[in-house]
Amino acid sequence: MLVVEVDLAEALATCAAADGGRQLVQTDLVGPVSAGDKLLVHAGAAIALEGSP
Amino acid sequence: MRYVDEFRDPELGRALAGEIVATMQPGCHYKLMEVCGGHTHSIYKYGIADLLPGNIELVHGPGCPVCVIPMGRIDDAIAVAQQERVIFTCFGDMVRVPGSDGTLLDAKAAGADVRMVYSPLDALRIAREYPEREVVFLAVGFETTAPSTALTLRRARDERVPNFSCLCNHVTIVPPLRALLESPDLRLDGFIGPGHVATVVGARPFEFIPRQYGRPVVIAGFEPLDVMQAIHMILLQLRDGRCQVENQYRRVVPYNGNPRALEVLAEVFELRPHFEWRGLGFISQSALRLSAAYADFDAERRYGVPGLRVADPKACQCGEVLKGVIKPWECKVFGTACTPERAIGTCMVSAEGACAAYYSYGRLTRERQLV
Amino acid sequence: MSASSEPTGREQRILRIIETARAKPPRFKDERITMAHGAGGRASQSLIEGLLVPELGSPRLAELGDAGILPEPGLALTSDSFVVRPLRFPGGSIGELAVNGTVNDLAVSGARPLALTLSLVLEEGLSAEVLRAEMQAVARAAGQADVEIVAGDTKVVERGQADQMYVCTTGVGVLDPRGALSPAAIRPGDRILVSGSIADHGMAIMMARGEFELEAEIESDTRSLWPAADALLESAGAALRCMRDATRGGLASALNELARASGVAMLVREADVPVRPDVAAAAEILGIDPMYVANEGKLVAFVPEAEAAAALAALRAVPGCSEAAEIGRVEEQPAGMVLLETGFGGRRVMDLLAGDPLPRIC
Repeated sequence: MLVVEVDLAEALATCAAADGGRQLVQTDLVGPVSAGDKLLVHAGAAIALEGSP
Repeated sequence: MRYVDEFRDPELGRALAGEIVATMQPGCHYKLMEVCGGHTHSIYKYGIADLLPGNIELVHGPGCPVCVIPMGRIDDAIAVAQQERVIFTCFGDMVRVPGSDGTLLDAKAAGADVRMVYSPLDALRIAREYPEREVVFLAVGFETTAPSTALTLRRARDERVPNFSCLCNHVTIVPPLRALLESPDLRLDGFIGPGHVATVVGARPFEFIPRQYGRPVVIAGFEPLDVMQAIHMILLQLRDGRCQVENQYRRVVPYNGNPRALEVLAEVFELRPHFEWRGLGFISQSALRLSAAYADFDAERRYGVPGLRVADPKACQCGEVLKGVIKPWECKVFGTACTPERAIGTCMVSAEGACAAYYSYGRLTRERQLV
Repeated sequence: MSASSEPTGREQRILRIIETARAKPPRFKDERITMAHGAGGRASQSLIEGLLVPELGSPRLAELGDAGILPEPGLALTSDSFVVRPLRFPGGSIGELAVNGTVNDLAVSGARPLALTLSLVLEEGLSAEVLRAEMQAVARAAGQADVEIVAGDTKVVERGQADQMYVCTTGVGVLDPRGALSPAAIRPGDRILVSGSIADHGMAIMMARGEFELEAEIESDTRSLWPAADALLESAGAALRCMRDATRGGLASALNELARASGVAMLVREADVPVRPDVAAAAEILGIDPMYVANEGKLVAFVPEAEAAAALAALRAVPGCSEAAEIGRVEEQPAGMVLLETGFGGRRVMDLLAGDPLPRIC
């Protein structure tokens, strides 16, 4: 999923969701992310950054 | 449409298919199991099997967490959903799974407040929005989705949200694989390993497969070239007499997994002594429940659930399909009494269930050359 | 998944049982209406073929065309309703959809659109400015499509009982003598044309619902298809087999409906289906298949192989149809099914969706 906005303090990222809306994604498991990052997301939590181990 | 993405290049696909053929022993038949629902989806979506020679047989394994939930657990979910003041939240895939008397979608149409969410965080948000209601989240999935539930429960506890609880049906990947490998009626040459589960748990937990059961495992990504490269790597191992866990999905999967994910899982969950799997029977230490520290958020403790064991319908052969022993079309009710619109068993309900996938995508097999 | 190189006897029998069952009119056994019944996939099909058509008992209705054909006195009649949210989106609004959607049902049935009626169900509290803007949109679209709004009706319902406004239409058109269109006319060997890029409308709506901007602005493709239909009728005449507009459920659903109605098979080449790069990228990011995404200004047409090149050239000359393409061909087997030759090179069945597309979790 594509990161659009980041809330670093809360470990939350706003990403583009499947219905065109926003989906809040928990980023606790992947560390700080930035807008434009692509996240591997399952059930609303990022388990990896796409393109990097 | 043009697929300029390097992982979907048809020319590279054809080249890789050629290398696969070159690696095979002529006349040999290879039976490879892909465990993960996401791989089932990819294989059908891109028609990957069409590029492989006929001597390679891809068998679906029990990697669909929706498919393995027994009917009694659905009845429990419906019982909770029907309670007054409850807002019952779950993933979309769950609403069509049949219990002994209908689905969650049926319960919703009859008046239960069932809401589909994309993540447990959505469910927590609903709990905050409706403090006078009781919000329950139906947690489903392997180690891929369990971390999300765990993180959400941690947030619920930190924020002291009193009206949120979780009905936990998370399962773990290793025990059913072990159960499969112990099964006498199963002959497999290798495994395409689950790429997303491995992102969380790493490649390490799969070492038992080559070490104790002598089968190679290659953890694979989900693009068509990922899957084909993994197949090639398995065949190379077989040809060279090697037997090990290899990681084709290096760009995402670390050998030791995601330490923060493993840590939060250990904090929030504990292993159930045993759990019933649809079609596979009771498997010990194969499922998660909330740990004592999170007892307040455990819907099983908060609500009386029937907890009845409901036997699968006699006609249902989901278990044999899940074990890869029979093909979907070999099930006696496939395509007749059991269809995607009116599913008897879970293999037909989830889009990644072997039966649903075959029914929707794979009904036409192209003639493939034998090597 | 059977991976043997030849289907065995039992598998063949099962597949035949499935195909026979699919070919029968579905029986409608649901106790209640769910959102799936409105999604344009299999549940919608079962509602229409299993409940609505049998109860209404009309042989013409049973043909399941986009419009009802009345050979005496040479008219086509159609009906449509619009419940889109949000009302306004890049490229248009509900007013334009109402006109163009109705006009297009007539156009692809081979009828020159003549006149529309407009029924409004308005929610208490709807802004008068919003209503005025939509009526202006209707007037503009009707002018562009060269049709007249000749009658209408208005109802107001209490707050919460309509999503701002619902629009219902009826359209009438004059059957064009050049064409003899019918799904039954489709033959093995025919070529499948599409009038332009797919999935624009559905993606535009999804983007409009979101609160963020992707780099590209995706616009709805809502437009009258009469110029495109006219061009095909002129080019291929009586050889033009059939047309359909690919709306709810997308290109895949339109092709499935026709394959089922005509009893032929269709083979579509994914690599040849036009999709704008920004639409493809957005669909990819959201995990959606463009084949199932709604369009509001695209048609598929079936022409014999010999007419295909000329028909495609005629179509491309129509303003807005420069991306028209030949995307596949009709075969005899497997009857009633649509197959997709994927961009990767493999093949799969491109079926109707079972219900509401549900988010995958694993």
